[in-house]
Amino acid sequence: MMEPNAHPEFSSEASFLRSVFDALPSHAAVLDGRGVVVEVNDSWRRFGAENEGDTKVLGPGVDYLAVCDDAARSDADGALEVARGIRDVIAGVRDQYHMCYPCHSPDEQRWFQVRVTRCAGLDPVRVVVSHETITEAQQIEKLSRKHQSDLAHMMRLGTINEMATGLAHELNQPLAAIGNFASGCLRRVESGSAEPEALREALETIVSESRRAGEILRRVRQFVRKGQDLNVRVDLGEVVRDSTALVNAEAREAGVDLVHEFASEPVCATGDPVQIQQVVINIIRNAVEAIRDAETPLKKRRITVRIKPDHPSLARVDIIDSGPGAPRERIPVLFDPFFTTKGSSVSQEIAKGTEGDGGMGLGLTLCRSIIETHGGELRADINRHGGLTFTFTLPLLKDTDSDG
Amino acid sequence: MMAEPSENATVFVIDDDPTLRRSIEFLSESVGLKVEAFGSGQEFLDDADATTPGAIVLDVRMPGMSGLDLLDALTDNGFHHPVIIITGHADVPMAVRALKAGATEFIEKPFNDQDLLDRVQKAIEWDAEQRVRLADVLVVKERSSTLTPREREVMDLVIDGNANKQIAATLGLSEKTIEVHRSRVMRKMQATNAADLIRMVLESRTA
Repeated sequence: MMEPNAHPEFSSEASFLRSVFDALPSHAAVLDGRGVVVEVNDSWRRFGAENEGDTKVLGPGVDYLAVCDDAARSDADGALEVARGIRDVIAGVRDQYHMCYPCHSPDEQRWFQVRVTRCAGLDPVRVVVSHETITEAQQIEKLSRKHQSDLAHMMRLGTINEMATGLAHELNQPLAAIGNFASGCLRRVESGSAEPEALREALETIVSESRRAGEILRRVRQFVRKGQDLNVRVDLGEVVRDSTALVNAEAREAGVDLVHEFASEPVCATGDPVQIQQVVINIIRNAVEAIRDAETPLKKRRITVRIKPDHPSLARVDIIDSGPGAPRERIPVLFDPFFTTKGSSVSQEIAKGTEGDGGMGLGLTLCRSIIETHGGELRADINRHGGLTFTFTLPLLKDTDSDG
Repeated sequence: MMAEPSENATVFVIDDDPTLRRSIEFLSESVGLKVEAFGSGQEFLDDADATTPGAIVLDVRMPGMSGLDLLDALTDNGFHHPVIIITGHADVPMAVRALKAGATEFIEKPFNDQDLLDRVQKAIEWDAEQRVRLADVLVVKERSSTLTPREREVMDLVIDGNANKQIAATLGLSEKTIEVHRSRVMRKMQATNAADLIRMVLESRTA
């Protein structure tokens, strides 16, 4: 609270506060307990004049809540949210509310953040609604996401390149089966020994095998697609199934069993399914390689992918391998760029080129930043009975959220 | 000599991919071949009958016991069948190892079905010939085991192309005695003439 003579150089306390209020770069308005505007600053007025062309619309006396409600009815999704936030702050349910929203002008992409703050100790109630431009911060974040997405894409191409032999094998299996069954049918028909049941079995398999081949191609195509940086509902079980289908050949050749342990209900998050898949594939391939290089006994070669909701608001994926593990002191640096668990020197590792990124040693570093960009965490732990477990969490998308 | 493959000549298919395995089975059956299919090398070693004639079709790339590991184990387990190796990508070191271990043929996926069937047929015929040859050798060996040491000496000299007179001189016996030994050799070995005797003995030695 101001002392009466705090600023004697000004004619009145009120004019001092008024000019401070006007000098704020944020567009600020004060609302009363019914949501009616009682005061606005210069920035608010100026922005209104530049954008709406009608300063009176949102000036003192205007029912701001009603304006928000109107906007919500017409189109703006955020308006309903903001109105709810203002009501909550007025009612004292919370002291502050804030939300980011886009508000593009015809010639510029713009983002704003709205903040609603309750004025402490005032009776009757007053709340301050302020809008600030955050376009620059948004653009920086967007650019950094684009860089990450480009890097991720480049590394996916590297991964597919490394997996090409295994994928060719995966495609050859159904193609060879289709050829054999079709030719078997032809020969039976030509020799007059075609039993309908035998033909039926063969044709059914031909149909399912051509689907199997198509699925592999679909998965490869999806995986190498340029980064779209999507933000969609992601069923983690589906992502893991797509991932293991792509690494299956490599795992099989290394004699590694890939085991799924999924929760009975689908566990979903939001984000870019391809990037999450990239994380899963990267971790599984590292594990396959570690198991193979350590010459783990055949019967113990296993990678388990476990998906479960982690109460109350996280989805959790564990990738548990039966490999050689790593010394405890190396766990924290696993995610450092250019670090590798294998070989003695980093330069050797780069020369070998085994990380899905042309040997840059960026695989796990990128995985962690992908997961963090998605609002989750990626960490590694040593298993009690040997091997490593990589765990990542993502904000859980509940069924009730899926419409939002 | 051309041998007819026996009635129960069998194609042993070993592939861990159940669909591909079944497809090779289906294809082979469509040309009247008998097929036994196995999901792993171990399963094959445990369940297959080594005395059944035929050929082995083997995927080189399998988890657990690989195709090459199985190749190494075949002879020790009494399997002398010709082996056709199916491979996705035959690299040189693998091919060398496989050939050393006794693979007869390579076939790359995706393969032409006619190509596979031709090789299988050829392998089965080769196996049948081998078996006949082996049987002949056993017969010849059995017959020669009934010869006395003297008769064996005479037979060896006959095979070296000596006339009775020369044999008599070499062994210090009369030509008459040599003639007696010689006719016993011919009877015991069931040879119709000298040329027949030479052929069967030489064949049994080279087999």
